[in-house]
Amino acid sequence: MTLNVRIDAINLSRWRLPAKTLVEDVAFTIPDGGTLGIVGESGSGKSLTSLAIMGLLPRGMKAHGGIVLDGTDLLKLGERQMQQVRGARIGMIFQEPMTALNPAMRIGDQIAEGILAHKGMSRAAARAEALRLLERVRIPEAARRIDAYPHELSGGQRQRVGIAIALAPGPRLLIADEPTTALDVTVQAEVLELLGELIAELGMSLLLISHDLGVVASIAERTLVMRGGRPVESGETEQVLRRPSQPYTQRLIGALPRAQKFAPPATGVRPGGSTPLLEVRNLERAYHSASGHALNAVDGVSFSIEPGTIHGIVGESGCGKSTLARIVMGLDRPTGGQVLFEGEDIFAKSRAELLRLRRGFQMVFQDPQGSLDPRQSVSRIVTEPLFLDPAAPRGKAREELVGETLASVGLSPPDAARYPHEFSGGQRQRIAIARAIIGRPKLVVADEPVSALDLSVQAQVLALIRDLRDRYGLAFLFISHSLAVVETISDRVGVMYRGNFVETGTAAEVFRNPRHAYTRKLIDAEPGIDQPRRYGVARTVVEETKARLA
Amino acid sequence: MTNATATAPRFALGPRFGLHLGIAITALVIGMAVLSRFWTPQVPTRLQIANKLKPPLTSGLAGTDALGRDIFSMIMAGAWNSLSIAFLSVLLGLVVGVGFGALAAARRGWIEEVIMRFADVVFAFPALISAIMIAALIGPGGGTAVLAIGLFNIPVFIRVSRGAALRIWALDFCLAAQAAGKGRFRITVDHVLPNIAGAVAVQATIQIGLAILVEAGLSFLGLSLAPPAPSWGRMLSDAQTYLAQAPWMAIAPGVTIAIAVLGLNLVGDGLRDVLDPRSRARS
Repeated sequence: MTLNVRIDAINLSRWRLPAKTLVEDVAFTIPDGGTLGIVGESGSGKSLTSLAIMGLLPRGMKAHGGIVLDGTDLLKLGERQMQQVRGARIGMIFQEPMTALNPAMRIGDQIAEGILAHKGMSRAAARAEALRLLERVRIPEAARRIDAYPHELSGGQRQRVGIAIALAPGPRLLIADEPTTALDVTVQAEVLELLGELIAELGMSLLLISHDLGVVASIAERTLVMRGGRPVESGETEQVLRRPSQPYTQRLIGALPRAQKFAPPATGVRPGGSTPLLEVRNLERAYHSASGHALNAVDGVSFSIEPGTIHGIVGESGCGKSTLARIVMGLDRPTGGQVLFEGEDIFAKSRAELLRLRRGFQMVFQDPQGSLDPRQSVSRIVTEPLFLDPAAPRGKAREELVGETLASVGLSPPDAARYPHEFSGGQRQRIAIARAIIGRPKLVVADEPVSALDLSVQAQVLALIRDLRDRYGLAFLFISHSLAVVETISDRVGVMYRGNFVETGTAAEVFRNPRHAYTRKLIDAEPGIDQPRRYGVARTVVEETKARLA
Repeated sequence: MTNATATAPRFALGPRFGLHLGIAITALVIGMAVLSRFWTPQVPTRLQIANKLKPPLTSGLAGTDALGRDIFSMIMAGAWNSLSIAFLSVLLGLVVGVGFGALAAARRGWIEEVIMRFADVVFAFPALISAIMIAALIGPGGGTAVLAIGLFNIPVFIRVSRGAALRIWALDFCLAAQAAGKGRFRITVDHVLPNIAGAVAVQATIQIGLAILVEAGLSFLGLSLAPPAPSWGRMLSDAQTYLAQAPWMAIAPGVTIAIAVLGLNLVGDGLRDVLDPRSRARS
């Protein structure tokens, strides 16, 4: 199998609008058994490139050039012929395993579907093959799980099933579009390992698309960096990511959280003998399911935050970090324990007093898309917290305050009259931060504030948060699943697992010298660009397999 | 790409063409309804048996019906009756329904459960049955029709607004508003209602179309405005008997209803876009 891609252009033509070129001059070759990673930020055209190969571009888009798979130009094939290629010769793995699997169909049938369509086996044989594949992707108790529905599996298992579906018709090339982005870091490591292993074993080729430099570095032999629909740089992965020749690649790598240089951590200043800004004592939050089964989402968490410091909390999905954030914000009530803000228990307060206290703390959310009301102007959005403050400036003075606040987060005062959709993701997050800081709070709870942002934008927002800490003495409770981000931004860190901290300390202590096994597991699982091809395929293995087959 | 810009499509419609067309149609229909209060070509209720079942343009613009009444005059006069009942009943359903729907979404829990079960119960009664019950209480007439059709609209709006509101409540900006100290009522007014307005407006235009038809059924049974007061719906049902002999009797009110509903739907769609700031900057 050799795939030779030479896309001159992918054009979007829309009715009544001028045609637009989305991708230009992308060319690469994937040899038999080769692995290529395409990295880029959003809008770089990396996904369109993969869709063009599969002939699945959205309506109105057309690829020009040549996509030659073993001598056949896929762009010249009709829809019927393309169906023989998809699945059978090129398999695809999708980002979100929950939506990529049919929720109403048993996983065994979903795997067998591709076998039956392309391989002409009997139903019984296809089922046996599906079982073999499930075992191969290491689904525990595969013989029993073959009749399970997707919702009965965990996220990682679903993605394994997704891989099994892609492998079933026996393609020689796999296209994986952000295959691990929706997964936790430890699960991601397992899935990448499995992927690398399968590719080596079956001698397949892989086209991996990711925004994550670490993921690409850990599996791909060659890397292509794209930006704004054009290729920037390509070559051996090690060379591209370790010794980049293009300024854009250098900037991208420089934006990796750990690569940034920040001032030494703040220790927080408070007059001697006074209380910490926020103190959480033995916090518990239990949820009861309909069957009466109790689950402790937060299970006895204690920590405190000093004024002017950033307290990071890192953990995987379901560890209770978002529940913790909601309780600290007073949006949810704990079932046990206390939250003390400047020494006052926020849950022992009357509603009016709580509202007064609320002025001291604000929140920033993950999704800059959903956290701003699309029907309100930036000015109305940003001034929302002033609703609480009877002494808030009105009229002209308020306009000035808005302008000032927008300027302090790197936007300009005239932006106040615009609407959220006119801004990019990073700018929206700046608006959300402006909303959080306009009332001069003492504490901002930030729940995954940079997770939805591109690498370079993420670096800017992190720098802004640091800057706000230093300029206004703001304290942050910074929650993230990303070790690198938390390590970079935080003064103190708590590693959360199943509702409680397994380890706390200064960022340097926890990450340089982890004591708890879970922390070590997290750190090990994190893909970095300094560990090239750790799950990847050694060429020799491929050669050996081929020799064996021949 | 420059050449693509230069050759602008020949049949380009202006932005908001649909909305403008919708406003024009709706204005025409409403204008006709208002005009009918002062002037119609013929007196719509005058019987001229000798002149019955005349095809369009042989007697009046749209011909005459089985009793020799001028159909065009009846359509004009019927516009007033049909539209006022349809508008009022949908308005009633909208105000009450959106109120309860937003309340259900804001409060959740048992309040939501009670509201939704109430909606189910009301929904289970066809408008005709509730109209018969209401007519038994207050007697037939325009008010009965408005009440009955309005009642039947309430659960529709409860469902539409609750569904849309729940989606809005799940978004982070509602959490942000809570974090800013706003209460559920305030958040509903500030964030939820503006964001569900589009969905509700579109539903309302559909419901007005439906209401015109339901009113037809009610007046057929004599539960709405008493004859001879003309309404589009009753003209349609009267025409049934003469469908083979005098198809224009059905076509004229049918086309009028279709045009009126089309106009309202265009206005609803257009309003949804205009209310959405995302589309505002694009032009």
